[in-house]
Amino acid sequence: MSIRKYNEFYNYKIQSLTSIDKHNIASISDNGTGIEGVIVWIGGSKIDGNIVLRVSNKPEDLSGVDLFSINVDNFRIIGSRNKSFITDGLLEDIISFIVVNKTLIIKFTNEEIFVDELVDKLLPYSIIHI
Amino acid sequence: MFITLREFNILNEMSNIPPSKTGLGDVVIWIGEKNPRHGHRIKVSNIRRKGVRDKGGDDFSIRLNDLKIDGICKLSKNELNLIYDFIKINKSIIINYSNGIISTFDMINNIKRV
Repeated sequence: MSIRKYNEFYNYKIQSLTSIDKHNIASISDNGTGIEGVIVWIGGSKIDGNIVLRVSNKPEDLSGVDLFSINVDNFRIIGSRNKSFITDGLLEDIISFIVVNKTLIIKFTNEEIFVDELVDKLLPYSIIHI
Repeated sequence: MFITLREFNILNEMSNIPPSKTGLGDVVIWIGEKNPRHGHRIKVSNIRRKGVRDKGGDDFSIRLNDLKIDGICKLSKNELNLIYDFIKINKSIIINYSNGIISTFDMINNIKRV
């Protein structure tokens, strides 16, 4: 196996939800995010010790195959963002969603709360900006 | 045997659902995406009042199509019947979630307590 192929697999593992990542991950559809078509995942493994929100690069795509991550502390993007779907404006909406729900995101990722509490208390972007 | 990328992605995804949401006394269950080998099923903890951080351990599975148990059930008959009732009234939601048609958010919001 060439080095290039190894790197392709490595990159796939970073940007996709592996079997390990998907433990204790909650997928949140646009009913929950309040941002049309945007699916995010809360929970799962940290990246370099940082809690992240995973975002689908395709509208309403729950497969978890094509996504990127956002560090919830500094909003740094890890992976490749599909800018034709996740535009700069949409990214700002997602960051607003993170800011308002940051405590919940951290608690769920650190396995301090069950998924029902996460779902019950999440504030969608559409409510935040009424 | 090779597995596809999609199958690799969905292996072992589970959401642990507390009794407050299911009405199953103090029994925690897991609902996950369909396992290519095992089909639709839920996992049930034999440990009562299992915490959110508790991993693996003592549990068994119930297949949705025939309610057959895989593993050793240490719960009472009444508790098991209650779980069967839960499966019956939530079967379509569980299957939709297991097939990746609805999100965790929508599954949790639509699940019915027994």
